Amino acid sequence: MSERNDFQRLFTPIRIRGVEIKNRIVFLPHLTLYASADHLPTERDVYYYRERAKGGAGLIVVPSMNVHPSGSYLNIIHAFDPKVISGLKKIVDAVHDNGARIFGQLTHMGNQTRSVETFGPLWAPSNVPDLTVGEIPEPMSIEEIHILIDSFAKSARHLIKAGFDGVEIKVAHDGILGQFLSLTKNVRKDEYGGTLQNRCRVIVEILQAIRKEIGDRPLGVRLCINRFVPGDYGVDEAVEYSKMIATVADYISTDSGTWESIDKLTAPMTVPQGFLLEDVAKIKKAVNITVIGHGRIVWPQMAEDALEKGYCDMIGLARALIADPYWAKKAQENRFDEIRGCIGCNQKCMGRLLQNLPISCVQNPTSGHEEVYGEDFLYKKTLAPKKVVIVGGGPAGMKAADILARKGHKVVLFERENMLGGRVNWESRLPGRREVFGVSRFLMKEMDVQKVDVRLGVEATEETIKNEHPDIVIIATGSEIAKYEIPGFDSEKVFHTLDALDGRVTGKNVLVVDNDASTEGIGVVNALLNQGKTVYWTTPSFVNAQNVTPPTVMPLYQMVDNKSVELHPMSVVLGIDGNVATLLNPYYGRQEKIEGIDSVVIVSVKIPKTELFNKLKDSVPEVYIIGDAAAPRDVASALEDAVGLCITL
Amino acid sequence: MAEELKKYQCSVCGFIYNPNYGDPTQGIKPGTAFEDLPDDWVCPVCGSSKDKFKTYEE
Repeated sequence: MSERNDFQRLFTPIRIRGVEIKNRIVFLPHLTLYASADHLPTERDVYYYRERAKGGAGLIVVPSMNVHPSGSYLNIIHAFDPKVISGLKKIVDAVHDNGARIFGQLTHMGNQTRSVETFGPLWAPSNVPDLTVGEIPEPMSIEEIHILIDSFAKSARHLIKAGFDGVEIKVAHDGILGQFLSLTKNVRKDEYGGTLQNRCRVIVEILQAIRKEIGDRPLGVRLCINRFVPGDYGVDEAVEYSKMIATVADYISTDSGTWESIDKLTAPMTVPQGFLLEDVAKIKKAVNITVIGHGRIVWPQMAEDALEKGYCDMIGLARALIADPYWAKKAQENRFDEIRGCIGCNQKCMGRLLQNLPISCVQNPTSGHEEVYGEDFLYKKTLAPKKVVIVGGGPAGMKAADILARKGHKVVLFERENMLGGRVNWESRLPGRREVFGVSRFLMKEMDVQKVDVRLGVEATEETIKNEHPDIVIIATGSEIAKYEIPGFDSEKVFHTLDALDGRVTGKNVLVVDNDASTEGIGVVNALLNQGKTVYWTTPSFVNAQNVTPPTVMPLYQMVDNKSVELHPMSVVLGIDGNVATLLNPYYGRQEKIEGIDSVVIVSVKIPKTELFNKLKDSVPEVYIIGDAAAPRDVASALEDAVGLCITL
Repeated sequence: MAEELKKYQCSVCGFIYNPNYGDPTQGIKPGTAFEDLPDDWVCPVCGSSKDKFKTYEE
């Protein structure tokens, strides 16, 4: 039996200015890009927030609603436009109907948008661009600052009309108000720049204007408490800002990082869970209003401990509830070990956001698709239970087993190894990727909870499968490493990812052929560097590790830094003559030679294992193939395949 | 037959250390008892230290 955890503090109600919230769990505001192209809330929004309210969160905060046309961004809600009120009311009602409170967050993107969105120069405290955007903004006049203050107040009125329980302003990792507090973005010499008090003036004035508009309702600030950018403010200045904010606001919801320090905004798996709590505690100590803690909090025990130690009054979770909307419910029912814990991979939340695409989640592909794949639909009990045999206990096979067992089918899962996990077992061995193991930790637990009949160490054959008399067979046997020849080079000196992880690569100077520029490639490079090799890291992509999202790739690049490595982007290996490799840059049409190559490591050339599927497809009534066995891709795709298939069965 | 090695569970995230599996993420070979894990070993899922683990009975 699992240990009993009560999480008593986490489930103690709290009041913010008279509004009772049933527990301490806050679904933090985060851009989803689910709004329509004309900036209205959508059904996708409604289902997204409804699912988290159903899952037990006490408070949901709808993010980044824009207060003025000059601060627009694609696919965010325009709070200044009264047309949004009816759509917002649907979100509010869906959340209230499921027992949670809901606040609305207001912002203006300032220098962190583009004039293609605003049809005019960007507004900002000063003409300093955000380095990740690069567009020079126009310093705001005093008159424009007054327009901004008024816009926040008017937009707040719309939120109250839509039924929101409270209003929050964003003074955080993006948006114009964070830029006013910033020591690097605000270089004004007037009453809105210079001293900390002057920088914070516009925020206090906005809070006062909103207070007049909304009266005795909760009013809060999402405050970046450490920008983690050289020359900008840290927690000590944030403490001073918090004291000024607390003269008007009812709560501070903590935040960290900026777009220029994005590995502290959505901290990746290399950053310890709960990394910001000591800074949060300094804010809590400085003010006597409610403080919401944040910073890669993944598990209820860490949340409970933070409350017990008095670091904060409530716990802010964004990615944790993207990955598992039912986090709160599971914690409350003492099923904490059934939580699908966020692994901090950032691949489909921040990774997609940075491509201006609507967000989802690697581990929870249903996230953002609740209208189709929400728990009520995906796990809807079958009226005709069937016997299902699944071959392959990697992510695709386990996910399929989990869904089908929950639907009421009888599931047998064959895995030829003695341990479930499949590709997760080697991916989590790549340096800096340990927490990928969480994917199979969750699914392995589900196999127990859903009573899947798991047969470990059994190589499923046509005969063993047929002996089970299945109605449905799902093949999820994964992929295998392709044999790969380098023209002119001894095949015994050609290695693969697992060889690099197991220390089998011979010689000192290693040419890495990184075919898809994903986490596998940079992981192999780091593994080889850790073994003291000199690495020549080639990739056909424009940039090495091009397909790893910035908040995740930054710490992995830091591991590469200062080691014996040469980067060769835009490079195809033509062959190796003796120990001289010839690379071609197809864009420049130029060849390059690298001397002294002892061995080669090929990354990410996999072929699907389809043999069993081909044998069964004409002799079993229903047989399907998913995951790498269908087409070798990544863990996210394996899980998506399982969801896409199993909702139909 | 040798006595079966005990399983341990992380009290933070619920990860179960099963000595039959070891811990591939940190180079721990199958057959390694929890007591023999190095002091700097951490929970592969949440990063908690060894002292957060308790014996696990199925």
